Amino acid sequence: MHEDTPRPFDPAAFDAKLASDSAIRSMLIVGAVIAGVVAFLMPGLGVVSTVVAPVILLGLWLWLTASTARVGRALPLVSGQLASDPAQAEATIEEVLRYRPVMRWARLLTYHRLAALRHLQRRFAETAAICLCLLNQPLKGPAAQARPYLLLMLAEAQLETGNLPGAYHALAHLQQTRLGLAESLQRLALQTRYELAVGAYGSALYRSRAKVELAELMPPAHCATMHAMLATAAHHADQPKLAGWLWERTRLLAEPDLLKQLEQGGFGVGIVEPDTGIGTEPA
Amino acid sequence: MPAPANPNLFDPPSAHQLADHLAAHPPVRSANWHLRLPIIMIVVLGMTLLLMSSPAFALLPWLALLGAMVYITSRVRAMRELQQRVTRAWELAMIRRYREALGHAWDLLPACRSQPELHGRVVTVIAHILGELNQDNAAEVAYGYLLDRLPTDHPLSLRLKVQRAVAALSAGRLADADEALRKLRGPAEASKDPALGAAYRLARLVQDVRTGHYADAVKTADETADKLRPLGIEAGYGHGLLAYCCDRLAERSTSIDETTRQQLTHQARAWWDKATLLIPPAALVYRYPELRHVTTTTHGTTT
Repeated sequence: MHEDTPRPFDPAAFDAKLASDSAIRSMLIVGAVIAGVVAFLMPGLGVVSTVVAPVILLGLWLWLTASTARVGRALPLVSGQLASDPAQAEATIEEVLRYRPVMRWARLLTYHRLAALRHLQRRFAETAAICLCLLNQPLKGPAAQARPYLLLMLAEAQLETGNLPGAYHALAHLQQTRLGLAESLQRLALQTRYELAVGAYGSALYRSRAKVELAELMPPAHCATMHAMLATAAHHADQPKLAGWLWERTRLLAEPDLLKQLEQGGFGVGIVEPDTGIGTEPA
Repeated sequence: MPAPANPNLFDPPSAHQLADHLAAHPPVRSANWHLRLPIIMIVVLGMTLLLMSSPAFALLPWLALLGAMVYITSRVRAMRELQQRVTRAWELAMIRRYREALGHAWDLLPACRSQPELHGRVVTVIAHILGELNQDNAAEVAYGYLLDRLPTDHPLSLRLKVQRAVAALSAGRLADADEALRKLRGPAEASKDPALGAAYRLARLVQDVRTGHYADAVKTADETADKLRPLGIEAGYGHGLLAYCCDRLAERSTSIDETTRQQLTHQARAWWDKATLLIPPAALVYRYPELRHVTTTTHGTTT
C-alpha cells in the first residue's frame, strides 16, 4: 500500500530492533564459547570438534559482517539522497532498517540518518524523539562521530518546538562535547538563538566582535542569520549603532527571501553535517 | 621544504617546489591487501581446520584470526587519525592561519599517499591557501594537479576550473584566463549551484578589471552584486572591484560629461562603503592591490 506520509518513529520498535540485534550478538558469543569448549575440551567428538563447530561459528560471524557491510554501503547513499531525493532516502532507510543481524553501530547510524531526514522534513518533534533515543544509547566506534550532530539537531528541534528547557540541556551537553570548527560554529548559532528566545540579550552580545568574526566563517545563509540574530539582540539591548551596522551587513549577505524571513524574526539555523553531506539550509 | 619550528614562518612554496613535492608524493592505489586479509585468513583457517585434528594446532588459526583483527583495527584507527589531521589543516585554513595550515598540509601530503581522497583534500587545502596568500603561480599548479586527476563530470571540477582561471588572471596570464572563462560560461550559468555562479561572476569581474573593461562591469553592476551574494563575506571583494571600475571610469573616460562623472564617483563611494562593510580595507587591498587607488580617491586616505 502506498503511503503519502512516512510511518512515525516508534521508540518501542527502536528498542525492539536494538534488543533483537543484541540477542543475535549474544548468541554469537555464546556460540563461540560453545565452539571453543567443543574444540578444546571434547576432542573425542572428532570432526565435530575440529571442523563443524568452528565452521558454523564462522558462518554466523560472516552473516553478521556481510549484513553490516550492506548497511555500511547504504549509509553514504542515503546521505546523498537526503539532499537530492528525500523520498528515495526514506525508502532506502526503511529497507536498511529491515536488515538483520546488524552490528550496533550500523543500526545507530541508520537511525541517525533517519533523524537527519526528519529534520530536513521539518518534523521536529520526531527528530527530537529519535535524537533522544540515540543519545540514550552508548555511542561507540563509528557511531561516536554522530553524537555532536545528534545534539545539534536535538537543540534545533527543541528550539523549533518551543521546548526551551530541552534546548538548554542539549546545548549544555554540547558545551561538554569536543567539537570541530564546523560544529562549534553551528553550536554558536543555536546558542545565540536560544539566548534570544529566553531574552538573554546581554549574553547573546557577549564578545560580539568575536562572534561576528566566527559568523564570517559560516556558510553565507548561516552567516546572514547569525548577523540578524545579533542585530536583534543589539536592538533589544539598546545598542542601536551596533544593531544598525549588523542589519546593514545582513542586507548585503542575505538573499531576498531569507532577508524577509529574518526581518520577521525567523531564525532557523539549519544543521549541516559536512562530512556526510547531510544538511538543511535555514528555513 | 622542511617545516620550521614556528609554524607561522612556513614560507609558501614556489610553483616549482610545489610541482616537485606533488610529483614526489603522488596518490597510489593501495593494493587493499589489508582489506582482503580477513578473507585470506578465513580461507587459511578453513583449510587448516580441515587438515588438523589436534586441538593444540587448531588454536593457531584462531590466534592468527585474532591477530588479523587487531591489525585491521589499528589500521582503521591510524586512518581516522590521519583524517583528523587533514580536518585540522582545513580548519586552520578556515580561521585564516594560512601559513600554519600550509605547513600542516605540506607535511601531510606524503602520509596521505595511500588515501587518494584525503590526498585530494590536502592538495585542495594547499591550493586554497596559496590563492589566499597571492601565490598565484603555485596555486595554478595545485588546481591543475587536481583537475588532471578529477573526472570531468565531478561536481568540484567546475569550481576548480574557475579558481584556476582566477589564479591565471592574478598571475597576469590574461589570454589563458579568457579562454578558460569563455569555456566555463555555459556550464557556470546552467549550474544549479549558486556558489559556482557567484565564483564565476567574481572571476569575470576580475577579468574586466585586469583588462580595463570598466564600462562593461559598471553596466551590470547591480546584477553582478546580486549574483555575488552566495559568496557571503567574500562578496565584499566584488563590491570593491565594482567601486574600482566606477572610479576608473570616472577618472579616465574622456567621453562623459561632468554630471555622469559625479554619478560615477558617487557610485564608487557607495560600492566601496559596501565592500568595507564586509571586508576591512587592508584585506581588500591585500587581495587586489589596485584597490589602493580607490581608498585614496574615495576617502582621501591610504590603508
